[in-house]
Amino acid sequence: MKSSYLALWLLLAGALAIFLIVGFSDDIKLGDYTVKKAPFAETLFPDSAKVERENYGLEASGGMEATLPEEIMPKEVPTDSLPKNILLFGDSMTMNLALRFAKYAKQNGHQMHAINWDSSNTKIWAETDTLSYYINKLKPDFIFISLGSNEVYFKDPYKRHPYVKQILSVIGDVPYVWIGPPTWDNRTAINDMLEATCRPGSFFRSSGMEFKRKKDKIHPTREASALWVDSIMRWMPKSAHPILADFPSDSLGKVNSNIILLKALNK
Amino acid sequence: MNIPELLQYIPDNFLTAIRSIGRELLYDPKAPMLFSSGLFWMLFLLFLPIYGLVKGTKWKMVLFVVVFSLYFYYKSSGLFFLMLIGTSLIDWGLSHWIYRIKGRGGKLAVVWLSVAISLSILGYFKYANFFLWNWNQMVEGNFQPLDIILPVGISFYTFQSISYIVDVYKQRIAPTRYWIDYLFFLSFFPALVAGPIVRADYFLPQIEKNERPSSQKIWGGLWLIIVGVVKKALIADYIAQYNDLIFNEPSLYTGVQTLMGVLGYTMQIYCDFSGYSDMAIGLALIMGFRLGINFDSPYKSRNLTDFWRRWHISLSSWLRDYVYIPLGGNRKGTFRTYLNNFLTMLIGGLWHGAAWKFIFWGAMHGVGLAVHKAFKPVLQKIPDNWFTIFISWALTFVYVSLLWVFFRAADFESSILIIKNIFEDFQWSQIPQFAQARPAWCIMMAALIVFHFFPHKWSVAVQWAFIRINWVVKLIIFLIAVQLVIEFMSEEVSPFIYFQF
Repeated sequence: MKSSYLALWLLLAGALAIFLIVGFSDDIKLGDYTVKKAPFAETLFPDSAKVERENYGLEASGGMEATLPEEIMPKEVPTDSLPKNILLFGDSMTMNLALRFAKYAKQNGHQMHAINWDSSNTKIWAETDTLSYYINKLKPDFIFISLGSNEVYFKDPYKRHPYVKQILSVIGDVPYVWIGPPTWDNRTAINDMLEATCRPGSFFRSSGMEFKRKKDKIHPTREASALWVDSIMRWMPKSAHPILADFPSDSLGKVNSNIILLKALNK
Repeated sequence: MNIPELLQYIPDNFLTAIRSIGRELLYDPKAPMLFSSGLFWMLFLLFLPIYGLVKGTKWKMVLFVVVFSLYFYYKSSGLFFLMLIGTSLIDWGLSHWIYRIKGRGGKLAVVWLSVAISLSILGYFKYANFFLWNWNQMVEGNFQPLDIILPVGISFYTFQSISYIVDVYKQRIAPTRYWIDYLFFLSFFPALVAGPIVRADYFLPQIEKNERPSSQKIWGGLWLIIVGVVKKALIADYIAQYNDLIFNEPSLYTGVQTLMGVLGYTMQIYCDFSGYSDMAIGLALIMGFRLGINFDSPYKSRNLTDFWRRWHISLSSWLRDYVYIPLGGNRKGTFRTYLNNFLTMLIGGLWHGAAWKFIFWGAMHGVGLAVHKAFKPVLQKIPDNWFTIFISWALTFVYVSLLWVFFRAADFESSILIIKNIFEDFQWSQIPQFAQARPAWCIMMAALIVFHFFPHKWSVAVQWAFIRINWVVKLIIFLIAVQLVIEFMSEEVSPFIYFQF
């Protein structure tokens, strides 16, 4: 090999060796910042990533039903018949969901607030104080979460697990239902992770449902979102904390959706 | 997992690692091999020492590179690499036939046969569904799209194949003596999937010469690769994350946000494509081959004619030589010159994709070129000063940027919505708010614009400085560039925009 090629080869090989060592080493921190690593471990040893997920108490493939011992599987619980102060928050899917949820709220005597934050994801909600601000302000006693659609394409959604945990810790003891993203091309990993992280009976799995989509082929249309909400409310009696969820009648009249719109600008 | 754990882990999971490597080496339609991918660089590490050893003997070098190129194409397009071999066999056979036939008419007939075969293959894979859809729209039929997968890079190598046949016919070159030399030209992996479109008369003599690259060329090549990686994998992929939001849901954003998305896409497509070209040119340079320049600071252009001399130069010069000039160029009067310009750009638009939006984009560039040509005598009388330079630059930049909206948006309606949004909902007060919300995006865009307007000699000087510096400093620069890419990398790497063409 010509000496120039040798020098170039040594440079490339040296760089690879350094990235390999860093990739398999403990986290390198610069102050509060953690230096990112090349994903060698996940590529070479996919099982090692699985071990790490298990360390979080998660298992992807089977979802909740496959991994939870029977004693902690959700049991049917009586419906809470009190009117609720409901908060729905999440990404751009939230808007159309909120329009239909508002009708259910009016029909069943609940109060409804919704926060639609365009292009938001679990990281954004976990790292800002927006959620705690609105929880303190609105004092909801039931929460719906619609997040995960902007994380469907992540190779390893388990990296988002800490953010999901953070959101759930802010919600605390308030009963909630996490509405899984309506995945559009058989990607189920994000749903698997959310399902495994949420309390039993607090996750509604939307993947696998058929949706009529908007032109972007991602967002369900308003009509499809309404049917989506109908499915969630039909499932509600099986959830960990069922609330009144009677089908809205046609004679409800004007319904105020109380939607707070946060632009993607704030990302 | 840390290193001691890993050392314990490897013996038990050796087979898993081997299986993972095996899986990575197989064709995966969702993960075509990109120059910016880790897998490519690991393979290149294996490729380089062998290439260094065989470079001295032409046939060994050709054979080795062809095998590697075909594997590269397999990784990008699966079994379509067999079609590439088939195309090369037909072209090579026909080129020898053209060479041997005495009469001009006979030669021309074989040229048309070859061009028809090449365009039929391209037409089937790229345009069949488009034409069927339009036909069904006309007859109000029930359109069922054919299940066709577009082989990566087919538009690029089809144009290379046509240029080879035409150049043999025009006696600019003789057909290659050996088929494998032609396959080398057609499948040369740095330029295979996304250009630059290499001309046979420029490239084939380089194969014959089989020159060993100097140390300057090798390090110059590495510098171009670093620049390309930063442009494509760092800047383009990062700014794309914001631009995609705007183009996917144009109705949700303010005028300023939309304008930034459009400006962002203008820079994204440049960084994406020119970055990939830089990597291709750099790789070829390391291997001792020149591919020619493909981008020359296109957004410095002061008119559309200038823009097309600087943007995707290998395509625009191909269109000039194999479409515009054969149509008559500027030799058949003023009207025909405008018409030929327009038709050439229309074909250029259609080359980019089988959709009306690309045809419209090409047509509008054709109109712009014709208007510039028509007003050239008047424009030449205007004195050249800073004001006129700025106005001509701004007009060109705005026109090009607005046309990118039609190129990128999902459909015509969305394009109009985006443009309307910019003009109807723009408020100066939103600018500081935007800068505050997206500082990294703004800094990256600002840096990019500043670098783009650096004089060419400055970038040459930086390249020379890199060539001359110590090996350790080169390594550090390389490490920093790659680490920056890892830091800013979106979880799912954006596909290369020009792959789809």
